[in-house]
Amino acid sequence: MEGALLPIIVFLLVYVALTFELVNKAVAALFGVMVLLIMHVVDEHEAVSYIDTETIMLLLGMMTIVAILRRTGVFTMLSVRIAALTKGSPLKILIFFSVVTALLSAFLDNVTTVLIIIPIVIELTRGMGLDPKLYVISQAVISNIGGTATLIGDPPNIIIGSKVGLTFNAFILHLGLPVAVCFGVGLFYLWFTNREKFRPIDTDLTKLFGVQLLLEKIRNEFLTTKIDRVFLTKGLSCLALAILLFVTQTVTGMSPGVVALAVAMLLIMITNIDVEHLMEEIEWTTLLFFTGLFILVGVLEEKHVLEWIARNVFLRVGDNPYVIVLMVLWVSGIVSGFLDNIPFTITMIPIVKLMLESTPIPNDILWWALSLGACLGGNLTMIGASANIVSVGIAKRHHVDISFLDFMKLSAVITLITLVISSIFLTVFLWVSL
Amino acid sequence: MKNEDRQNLYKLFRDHGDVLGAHGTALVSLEAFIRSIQDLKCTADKLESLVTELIQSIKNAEPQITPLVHLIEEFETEMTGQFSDDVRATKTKITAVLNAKIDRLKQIGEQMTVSGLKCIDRYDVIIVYSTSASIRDTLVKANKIGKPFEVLILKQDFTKTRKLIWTASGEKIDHEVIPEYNLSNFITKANKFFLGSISITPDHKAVCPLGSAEVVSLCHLNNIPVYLFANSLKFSHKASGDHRIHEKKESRIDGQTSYSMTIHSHCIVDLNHVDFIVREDGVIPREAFCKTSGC
Repeated sequence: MEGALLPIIVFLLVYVALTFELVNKAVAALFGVMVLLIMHVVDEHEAVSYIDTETIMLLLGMMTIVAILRRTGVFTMLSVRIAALTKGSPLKILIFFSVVTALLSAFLDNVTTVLIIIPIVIELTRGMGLDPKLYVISQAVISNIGGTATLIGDPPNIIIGSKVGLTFNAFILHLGLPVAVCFGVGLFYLWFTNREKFRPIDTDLTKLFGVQLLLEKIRNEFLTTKIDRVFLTKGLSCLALAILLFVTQTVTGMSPGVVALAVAMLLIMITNIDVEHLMEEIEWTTLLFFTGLFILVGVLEEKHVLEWIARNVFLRVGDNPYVIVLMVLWVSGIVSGFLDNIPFTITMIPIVKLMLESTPIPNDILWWALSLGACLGGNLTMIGASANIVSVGIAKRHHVDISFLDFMKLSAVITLITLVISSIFLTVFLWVSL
Repeated sequence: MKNEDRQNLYKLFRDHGDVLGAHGTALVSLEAFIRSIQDLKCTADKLESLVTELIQSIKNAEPQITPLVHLIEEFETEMTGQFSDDVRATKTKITAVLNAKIDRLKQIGEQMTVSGLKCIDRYDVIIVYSTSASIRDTLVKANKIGKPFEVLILKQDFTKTRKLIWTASGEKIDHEVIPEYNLSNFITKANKFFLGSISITPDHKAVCPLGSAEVVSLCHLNNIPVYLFANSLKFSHKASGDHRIHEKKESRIDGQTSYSMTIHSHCIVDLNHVDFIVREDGVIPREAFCKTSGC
C-alpha cells in the first residue's frame, strides 16, 4: 500500500464533505481528483482510464431520453388519470399510485418519478383532508423499491450492471421476484399499520362531491402541457426501442450504455428538439460526480487499499458463502441508509470482485446482494436516497413538513422487512445454486 | 360535516371559479354531483339527508356561485317527494334532473355566444380581464367567422389567465398579454372592455373577479364601453353584501419585513359604470336595463 496515505485521506475528506453536504457533490469529488493530480499521485491519462465510460454513457443516455419524455407530459397525464381512477378512496390512492410509482421508477430514474407523482399525491390527499405525509413517504419508499428491479431503475444498478457486465434481462430475472414480494409486503405493512386512515369515503356524498371537484381541479392544474401526439409517439417509440434493445442485449451485442446514448441521439434528431434547452435539464453535476468518484476509487484500487479492506474486513468473516452474501447485503443496506449509495457502490465493486476471487459464489449472487442492499437500504433514512430528499423537498414546498424521524418511523421498518425478504431470497437462491 | 371539510369544499369552488368562471364552475359542479351520486353507497333512508347536506354546502359556498345556486334550487324543487325506497330509482331520477340542468346551462352558454358576437365589430381592440366561458367562446366564434379584432389580455395571477392565453394562442386570435397594472399605458389603444361576473345583485352591483372594479373604473374614466356578460342565471335575489365573498388574512414575510395582509376572493362593481349587459336574450344598454330594474 505504498503511497496510499494521501489518496485515503483525500477519499475520506471527500466522503465527509458528501455526507455533511459541505460543498456540491461534483465539486467535492473533482476537487479530490485535482489534489491527487497536483500531488502527482496519479497522472491525467491514468485518471481518465479509471472512468467507467459505459456507466456515464448509460446515465447520459437515460437522462436525455427521460428529459424529452417529460416534455411530452405523458407521465403527468398518466398520474392524473390514476388520480381519477381512485375516486378518492384513500386505499386506492395508496395502491394505484404505488403501482405506478414502482413501474415508472423501474424504467425512469427515481427522482423523475417522485417529481411527477408527489405533487399530484399531495394535491389529492390534502384536498381530501387527508394527511399527505403518509402518502409522500410511501411513494418515496416505493420508488426506491421499484427502481431496484431493473438495470436502469437506480444508479447503484447502473453502476453494477455496467462495471460487472450484467444484462438488463439478468436484473429483471433475478431481482424481479424479490422486488415484487418486497413491494407487496411493504404495501401491506403501510396499510396494516395505518388502516384507520384508509377508511372508504363512499358513504359520504359531500366528500365524494368534493373529490370529484378536486379531480377536475387536478386535471386543470397539472395537465398544463398540451399533448403533441406526434412528439409523444416518437418519444414513447424510442423508449420502447431502448427497452427492446436492453432486453435483446445478448443477441445484438450492444451494451446498455451504447443503446441508451444511441436512442437518445435518435430521439433528439427525430423530434428536432432545442438541444441547448435540453442540455439544461441534464444533471451534469451527477455525471461529473460519477466521473470524479470513479477516479478516486480507481486510485484506491491501484494503491491496493481496497484489496486491504477486502482482506482485513470482509474476508475476515471466513469463506462461508451464506455469511458472505448476507454480510454484503446487510452492510450495503445499513451503510446506504446513512451514506450516498452511489459512492458506496462504486467503492464496493472492486471489494466484491476481490471477495469473489477469494471465495467464488455462483450465479452473480454477491452482485445481487450488493444491488438489493444498496438500493433497498436507501429507504432506511430520509438522506439514504436522492428520491427521499427530493420527495421531502417537494412536500416542504407544498407546506407539508416531514421530519427526519417522521420519515424514519415509517421507512426504517419497511427497509428491515425488505432486507429480511432479500436475505431469504438470496439464501434460497444460494442454496439452490450450490 | 366538519368545518375543515366545508372550507376545503369552498376553496375548491373558488379555485374552479378562478380558472373556469362561474358558468364553468356550475357545469363542473353539476357533473361532479352526478358522478358522486353514482359512486355513493347508502340506504334509501339516508339518501335524502345526504343530498340535503350537499345542497346546503353548495348554497353556502364562499362566495355564492349564483348560477349554481339557482339550478340547485330548481333541482331541490323538482326532487321534492321524489325520494323513494328504491335507491337505484332515486339515483336515476337525480341524475336525470341534473342532466337536464346541465343541458340548460349549455344551451344558455350557446345563446350567450350569439349575443356576445353582436358586441364585436371589425377592428375592435377588446380588453379582457377575467376568466369567463362566455367571453372566451365569443372571442373564438368571432375569430372563426373571420372578424378582424384584437384582444388585450390583462394578466393577473397566471392560474386565472392561463386558460384565456391558451385559447387565444390555440385559436390564433390576435392578442397581446399585458400586466393588469400596466393597462393605463394601453388604454388609448382599446375601445371595449368585456367583463365576466359571478352575480348581479338587486342593489345594482355585480360580484366580479378580484381586480375587476379597478379595470372598470379606468375604462369608465376613459369612456371605454364596459360590456358585462351576465346570463339570466346570474341575477341574484340577494344584495351584494350577502354574497359571502371570501376574506382571508395572510401572514407574509418579504425579506426582513413581516406583515399581515387581507385578501378577498371577489370584488363589487357598480352597475353605473357598466354600459351594456350581455345576456342570452340580447345586449341591453344600461339605461334600458335600469328602466326595467330601477337603478
